[in-house]
Amino acid sequence: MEASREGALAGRSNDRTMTRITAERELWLARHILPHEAALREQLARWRLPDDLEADDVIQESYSRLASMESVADIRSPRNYFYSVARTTILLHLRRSRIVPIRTVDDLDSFEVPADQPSPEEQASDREQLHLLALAVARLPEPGRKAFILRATEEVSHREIGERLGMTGNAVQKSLSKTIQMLGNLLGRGGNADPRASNQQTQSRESYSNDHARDERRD
Amino acid sequence: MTTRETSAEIDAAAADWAVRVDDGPLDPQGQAALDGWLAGDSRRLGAYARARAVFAQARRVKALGSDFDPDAYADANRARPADRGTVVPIAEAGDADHRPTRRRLLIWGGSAVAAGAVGMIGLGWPAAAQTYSTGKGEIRLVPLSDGSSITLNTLSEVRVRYRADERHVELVQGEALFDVAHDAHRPFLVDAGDTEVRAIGTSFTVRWLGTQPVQVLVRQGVVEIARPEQPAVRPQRVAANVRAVAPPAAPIVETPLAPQAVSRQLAWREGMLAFEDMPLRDAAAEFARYSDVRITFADPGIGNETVTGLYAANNPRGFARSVAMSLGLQARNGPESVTMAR
Repeated sequence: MEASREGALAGRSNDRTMTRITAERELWLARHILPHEAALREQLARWRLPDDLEADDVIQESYSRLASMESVADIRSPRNYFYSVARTTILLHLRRSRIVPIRTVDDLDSFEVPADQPSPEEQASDREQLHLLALAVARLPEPGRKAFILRATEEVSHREIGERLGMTGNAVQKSLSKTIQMLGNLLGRGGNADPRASNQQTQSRESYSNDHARDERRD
Repeated sequence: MTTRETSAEIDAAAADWAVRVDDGPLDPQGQAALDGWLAGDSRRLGAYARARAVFAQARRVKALGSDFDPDAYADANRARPADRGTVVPIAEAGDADHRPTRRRLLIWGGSAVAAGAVGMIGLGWPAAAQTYSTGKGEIRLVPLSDGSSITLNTLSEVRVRYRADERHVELVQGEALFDVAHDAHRPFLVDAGDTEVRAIGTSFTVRWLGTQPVQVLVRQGVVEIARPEQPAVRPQRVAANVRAVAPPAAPIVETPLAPQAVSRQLAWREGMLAFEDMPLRDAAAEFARYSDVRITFADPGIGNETVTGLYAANNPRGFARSVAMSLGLQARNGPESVTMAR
């Protein structure tokens, strides 16, 4: 089962023509994959990744595969599938590399990807997810937070948000983009992961990213 | 090696795209630009999909209601540890009315912290009933504040109400395993229909599927089964490794079981079903509790064949396939069912 899945992934060509992510897939990723990202990141931190591959790369490649799959209907346990996609991503990377650090292979071998069966902890309660979201929103800096809440709850256009908050449409867009990145970090790294996130409001995107690069190493 | 775009740079660009797409469909030039960007690096599609997923998840702030105040919420939740077991639940719009509103919960959030402190100096606190439930095919472990735990099987619901003198659980429907922490001063009571099961420190399951009599399986310790509405029926003590069935208006029937048989009956905790010489008809009924895919028989006689083994509860098709193989039958898959035929 596992081997055939790996084979299917390895056999997938690199052309990713399916760039239009459906609303359905977007929701599936939001409900069934994103809640497990923080735990997978912890797992990745325990594996010794090759020097030219970072946890963020693995996460992005894994989402990429999950986004370009034709159907996700047969996946019983999205969490376990997510893990096995991450593992395959690393294996494929190693296969392409000329030098394979032995330690990495050992680590990967010692990591049993569980069968594609939902586990009790997989049913992360919906309420808990909502609770984490509420806490994450509370940590967003203004004016991004107001702009985001207007967009999400009233579905107001960027231009109208700008009028209400005294910003240009372009500034609203930038502010929302930054908000989504911060929410991605808060939700994808365990909601409460980094207490310093609330102090990052005034930092530029560059230093914010650097901050995260540092977090990655500390993990 | 050429300089590679960092994943943080990709995430930033992906978030820009997710925000643009959220504002409305892209025009053809915009779409072409997005396609061109995505084609440049395999990580970009992933980052873009992730940003879209984050946005989709974040849109659920709507469910917090129009009066959601992030700062007040954070303040109300700051005092308590960020541990899974103590998460203050949030009521969603459209919830059943036995669930308190978000506003009430915010207040409770504060008082739950207070309750913990008061509890430590030995005072009781009137606790609200807490409801836990599972959908079809779900299993859920519910840790309770006293160290006891409840494991809910598929399609089950319990209401838990702890008082200073009594721990009370109502099994509204389904099946649950109770692992009860010992507390001689606070009996642990489980109500299922007209049957009451009393335990002090023990482990047992109660199963009530509505159409069948209440069934109690004792794994450890002793429980007492009573019929409060029928004073003529005396409470009956049931020891470990015994299954007790309490049919309405009839005496409680006890059957001793081997410890292995008790473990087998608890295989559902691992998402498995264990059968020993179980008629296929009954096995099919068990699978129906966990999955919408029905197992049917082309010929009713097939239902009398018996089966022994351990099977994944959520995989009726796999079960049918492997049973068909061992009994020389065929398993024909339909869209909502699998039919066993000769």
